[in-house]
Amino acid sequence: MEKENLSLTQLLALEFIFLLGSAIIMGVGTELRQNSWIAIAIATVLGTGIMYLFYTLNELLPNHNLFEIMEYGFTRPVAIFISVFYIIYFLYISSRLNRDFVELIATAILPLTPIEVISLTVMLVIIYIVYLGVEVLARVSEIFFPYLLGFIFLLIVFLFASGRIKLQNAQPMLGDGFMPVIKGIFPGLITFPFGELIVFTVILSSVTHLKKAKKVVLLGVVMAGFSLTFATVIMLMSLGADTMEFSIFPLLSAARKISIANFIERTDALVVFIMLLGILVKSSLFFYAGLKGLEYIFRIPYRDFTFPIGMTVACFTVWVSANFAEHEEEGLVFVTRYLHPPMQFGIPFLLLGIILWKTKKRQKANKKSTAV
Amino acid sequence: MVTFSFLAVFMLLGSLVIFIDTLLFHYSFMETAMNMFYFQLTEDKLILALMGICGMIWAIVVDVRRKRKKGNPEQPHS
Repeated sequence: MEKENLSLTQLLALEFIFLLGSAIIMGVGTELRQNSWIAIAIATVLGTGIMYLFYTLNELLPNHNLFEIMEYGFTRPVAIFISVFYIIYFLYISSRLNRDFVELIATAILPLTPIEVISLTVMLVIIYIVYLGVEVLARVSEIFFPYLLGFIFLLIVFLFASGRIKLQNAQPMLGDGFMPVIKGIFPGLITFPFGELIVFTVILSSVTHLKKAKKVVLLGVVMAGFSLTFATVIMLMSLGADTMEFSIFPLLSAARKISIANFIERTDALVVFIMLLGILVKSSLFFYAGLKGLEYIFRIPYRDFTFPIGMTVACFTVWVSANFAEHEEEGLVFVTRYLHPPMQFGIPFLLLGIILWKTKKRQKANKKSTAV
Repeated sequence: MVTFSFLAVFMLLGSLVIFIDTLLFHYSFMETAMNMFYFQLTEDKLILALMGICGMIWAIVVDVRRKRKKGNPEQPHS
């Protein structure tokens, strides 16, 4: 199988865009109202710990992706069995992400275009990128990373300049105590977006200097968490807790409020760009991870699967739910509570325990043999 | 193998979607399956069917090419 190489800068860009991805547009923890940013800040700290554990998994067995690590931990037949679940999980999340994007486009800029057409066009781009390799995706992220930061910065400046930021919207803080914040973090914020970093256990095997990557992966989580927290504060102050909670795309609603001298208006395009890049990177990574799983099971290069499986994902982008309300309900109830926890924490932590135990056992055996 | 994986992924993803709908919205299995393929416009159905068929044909072509390659391994240059 062809080896791909990612630089540390590319890894940082990928991680940052991945974490902001859909989270910044769809809004995370908005049900916590004025406490949402506090919850995101705490979840960022926990997310850094989660990423460290995922990194440790890769560090113990360098140049092995999640599926190969599972083979080391559980033996190949068991690894294949669990890989099937991971493949379906990754592809399902990829479909859901595409659906988020499709709904945004249908709401914001192309209301008359059938969602099937939007789904197909987005998926064709993702298929092409993934076919060219994760290196290409990383380069795309590296190039657009400054643009993303610039556009977020511009949106915030515009909101300040148009006088839409009201500090009183952020009050009262912790009005109902600390319990709602804890309930919002577990399992809501911890699984989305931070738990989704599980996909990086597939990508980290392609990083050239894995030993130096530790600081970079942790920095990526901190940077993205800080940006997410800051963006949530801005959305809260500009929209108010009620509008932010019930808005489908809070950042889009905030951007629509921008009006400077009746000249700078309709900045929706900036939001759509942020969403486009975020979803493109995030969905591509999930799609790539799913394909790598198929590569592991069938021992066929993942590129052979790209188009057929891509078309399946495009179909399921539409079939995944009948409408956006159903899509949100599934995301908040089923995916967050029942799908994410075992795939993001249950299996990886069990795997980590087994690998650590096996490594210690091997070290003891080595010590004994050298003593004899 | 690519065709098999295509069909397997299609079936498993479909099962997951149906399972989620039956669990969350208390529909019967058949109701959920029918809802999945229900569209107001025929064009939408056609686009989706076309995407699925394209994927299937591509998978078969890849399998045939792989089989041919296996049958006729490239001769080393003398």
